[in-house]
Amino acid sequence: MADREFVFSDPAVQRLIREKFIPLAMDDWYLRRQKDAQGKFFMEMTRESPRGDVGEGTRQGRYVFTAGGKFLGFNNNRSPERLLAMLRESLGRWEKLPATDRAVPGDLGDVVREARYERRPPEGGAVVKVYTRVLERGADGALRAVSEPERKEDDFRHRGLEAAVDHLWLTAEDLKLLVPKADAPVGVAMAVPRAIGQRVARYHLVDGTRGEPPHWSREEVKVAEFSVIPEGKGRAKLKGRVKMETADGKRGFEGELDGEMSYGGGRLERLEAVVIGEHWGESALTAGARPGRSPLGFAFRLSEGKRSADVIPPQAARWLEGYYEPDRN
Amino acid sequence: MRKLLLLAAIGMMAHGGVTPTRAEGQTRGELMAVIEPGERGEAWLEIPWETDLTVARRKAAAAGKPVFLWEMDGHPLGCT
Repeated sequence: MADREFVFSDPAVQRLIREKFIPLAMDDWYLRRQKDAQGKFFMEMTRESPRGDVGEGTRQGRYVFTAGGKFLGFNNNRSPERLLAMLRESLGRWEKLPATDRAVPGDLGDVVREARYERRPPEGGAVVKVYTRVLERGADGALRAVSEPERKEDDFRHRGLEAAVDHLWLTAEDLKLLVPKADAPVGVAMAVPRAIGQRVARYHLVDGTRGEPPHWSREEVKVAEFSVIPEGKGRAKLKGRVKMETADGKRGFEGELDGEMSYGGGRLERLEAVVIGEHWGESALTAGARPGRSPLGFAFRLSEGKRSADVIPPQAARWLEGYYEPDRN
Repeated sequence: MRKLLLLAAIGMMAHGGVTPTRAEGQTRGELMAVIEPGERGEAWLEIPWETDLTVARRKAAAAGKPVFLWEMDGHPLGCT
């Protein structure tokens, strides 16, 4: 998230990337494991980079390379100036290349990934953006974003005050169970199917504001009660409450859901919801939490799906079966 | 009004075992606006990111440009 804030929101970085490069963002966890053509291409390209000798370890960073796979530059620093320097140096190398080295040798073929690492948005389903932000109460009792302290120009320390983002994937089968039938009685609460409720609680009500969050285990979910209350005319309210807590009590979240959705023909047309509650504790990759219990908010909004960035696989979908069937795994 | 909101918040916290929820008077829309990143928080999406390596290579070859790859352990456009 710090990269988004400090590096890729910088207008000069954006301009140079848009004008001179084809920008690509990928999850290293998948790519370095893939034994298919994409994985092999990536491992071969990075061989010449500073990550060339990490073996099976992470190769995360920023790379510039040709379509044919020639490595041109690498950087893994939060300073926009240092990234700009790397991009310019890489362009210098690109411009010195003979035309044959800039081109792709032969046909790239179709996109075929090793099946176990293939992640496509569920056909006929829905993708919901899930934003998470640490909150505080103002003097008037209202919840608000935690204000960012003043920082020096070269201070790229990540404080976790911006909104984190993940994506909730719902299958076509989920929607059949979630969306009320046309004759559903108005005002009568319907329980959200356990698999969906557990998916939301275990994998999406996590504090990812300071880094990759641990997901809740089945045992750590103490309460996960969600209901859909039809209002008629293709609209329904969403209500719920959750409590998750580790066995030692050092990390947890407790909150309530309030939302609404509209639908037609079995499909979601709109979904907006918030879960407001209190989080406590941290983990190895999310250090720096505020002491004790503090307000944490989640916002759910049906994704428009217009951009690649709108349908990114959920972080918890690395084990896809576990993601879709959290009540059984 | 402020006093009322504060009292409402304190009252919810004091109510044994019940999670302190939203301050009274804040609508769901207002809370979503507080939580969601807004335009400034999503400025990084001004870059038209591709998310498939083969598609990006094909586009790079057609455009006569190199590929810039942002690679993270956890998807850079999601995860955190």
